[in-house]
Amino acid sequence: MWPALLKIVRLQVAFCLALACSGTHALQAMDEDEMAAVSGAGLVLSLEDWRFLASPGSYLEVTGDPPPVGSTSQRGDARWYGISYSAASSISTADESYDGTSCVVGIGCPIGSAIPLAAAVDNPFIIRVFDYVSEGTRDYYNPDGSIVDQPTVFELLAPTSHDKLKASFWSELLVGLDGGYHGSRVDTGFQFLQSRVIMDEVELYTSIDMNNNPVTPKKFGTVWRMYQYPTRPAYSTTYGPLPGIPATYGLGGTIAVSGDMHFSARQKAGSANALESVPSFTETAGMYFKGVDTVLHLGVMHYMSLILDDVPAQDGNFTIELTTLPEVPALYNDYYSISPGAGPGGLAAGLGYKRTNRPERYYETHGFWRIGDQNFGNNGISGTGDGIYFMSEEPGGFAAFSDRRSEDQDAWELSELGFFNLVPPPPTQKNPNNQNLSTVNLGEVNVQGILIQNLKITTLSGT
Amino acid sequence: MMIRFLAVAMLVFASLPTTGRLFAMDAMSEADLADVAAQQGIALDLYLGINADSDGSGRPDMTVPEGLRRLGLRFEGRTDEWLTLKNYYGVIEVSNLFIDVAVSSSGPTAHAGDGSQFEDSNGNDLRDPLLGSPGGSVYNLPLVQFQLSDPLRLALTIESIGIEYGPQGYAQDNSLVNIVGVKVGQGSDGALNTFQPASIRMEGRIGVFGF
Repeated sequence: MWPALLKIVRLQVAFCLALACSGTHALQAMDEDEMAAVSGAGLVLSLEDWRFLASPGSYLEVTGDPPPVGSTSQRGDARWYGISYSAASSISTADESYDGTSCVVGIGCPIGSAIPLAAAVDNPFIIRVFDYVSEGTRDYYNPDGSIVDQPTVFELLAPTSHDKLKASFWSELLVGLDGGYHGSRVDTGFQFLQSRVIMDEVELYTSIDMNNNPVTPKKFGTVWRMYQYPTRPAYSTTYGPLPGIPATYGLGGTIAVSGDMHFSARQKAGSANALESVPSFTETAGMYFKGVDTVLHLGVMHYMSLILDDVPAQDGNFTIELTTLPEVPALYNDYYSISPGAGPGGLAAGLGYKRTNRPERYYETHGFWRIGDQNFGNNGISGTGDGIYFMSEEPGGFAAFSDRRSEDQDAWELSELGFFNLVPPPPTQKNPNNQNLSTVNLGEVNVQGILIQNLKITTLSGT
Repeated sequence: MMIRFLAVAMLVFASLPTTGRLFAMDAMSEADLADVAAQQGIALDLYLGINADSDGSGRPDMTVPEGLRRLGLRFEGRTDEWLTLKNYYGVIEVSNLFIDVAVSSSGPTAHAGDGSQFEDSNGNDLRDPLLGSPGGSVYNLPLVQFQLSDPLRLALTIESIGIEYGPQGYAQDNSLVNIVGVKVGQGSDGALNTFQPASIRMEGRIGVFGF
């Protein structure tokens, strides 16, 4: 199947090449060598001076349903408007807001100019069919622990270097409107919230220093793969039987993203704040995640995959599952980066969970999530350079209090009365340490070792 | 030059891999290549409508019941189980799609050389030889270039998604559940019954070539 498909894709490209030629470049005959160099492995997409802008009033909607009889829940609907990709603030030549006005605060502006090289011709998006090859240093496994000699995938590879992007949308959550957006709207007891998300300085790749070695960081790109998830036999060794899974469509990949994020819900004075009306958000208020590096692995080819299945009741509901990690030594040794037989007890020496000399394979199955530059001392109470912080546009802003219960707690504890008395001293009003702050920085985040061993989402609608 | 000619679009996509036929790659002679005209490139309008009027709403004059606007997907290993998109309809309208041939960058860009995403298990850059080291043949390469000067219009409604069973599960609705649906359109500032397609601008140049 794949070879046939490949050759047809190749022919399609050749056909397109022959079909049309611009006036600036008259058609030149390719010689046989040039034609023969097209192997048919895949297609390349480059994006230059590129920008994707959905109209600020155009939406993607998830339609709700009336709640089940007897439920106290209300109907909910959600829309995402104005989804856009444009140039990051650092390279944008002109920014604007959803309402069409010009905008000056980079990360507070949802729309930038075109991206010069969103995918350069020498670091493009690649769509291809590829046979990975198992060999001594890197084996690929079936769910039963046997080695797959040549796992074949259909994959999309994102660039590993490109001009930085800005991505944004504004959203509307609607609760309690009978019939939702498309109903008669006789009900007036509904509530809604409009908010905006802007991701700035975004790259579809990131890296981490392997074993604290900044010279040779491990780099991650975003990849999506489709393949046949092989038959998984039933297992019953320790935790009871797990049902077998017949070979089926499998999906997996790695999401690697770095950049900044700004979430806000504050609208300018005079903004309509009405359902389906494009709001005018202020530029600075809200919550910021600055300096985010994220890698999330979904599945490992070929023994863990996202698959679709029905439910036992066969009532129309379905499941999306990231299949379990089977209890097979070859698989969990690979998944946890354990080198078999290398240490005491035959398992421990190559263990991925250690501070130094982690094997590279560790980061191919374990994700991480970092916010900030990992210098925890440089944020300050009002820093905006990195980390998680909130900005206020209200007069007076925030006031920061210490965590002490009472001004006199130390003295009280040292007193004889305090030492033997289990009842704490009466609380007293503590004056804030810092007042009138427009920004409060909460610090940074570093989460390592993220792995999803089994994830199952089951729809439960309309029963 | 504006060609409103859907047949041309069909011709372009006629070679999509739908039939599974096998063609060996034969080199075209210079004479054959030189015979190809269309030196100015081509411009197309594309319109695709499924169960929908041009504004993207479900067609009221359908001769089949509304309940039969279905699309079923059946995956390997899922015999007689269909993931069914129920009551789906929509339109996509592309205006002024320009297709011509351009030549890629004459030398390395600022993003060249980082091939870690594309390495095989031996550490070789899988983009080789077309995309490998700077100076490789990825440069000065003719590529098909797509440009879209006008916004495209897109409307899509999938009322619900659920599993149906049986050999003809794709065309039936026996289940009791109504699982979440999706809709793409243009907001109406709160007015009723004014569903219309979303408007999306795609600026810039998309280059495509094979390797």
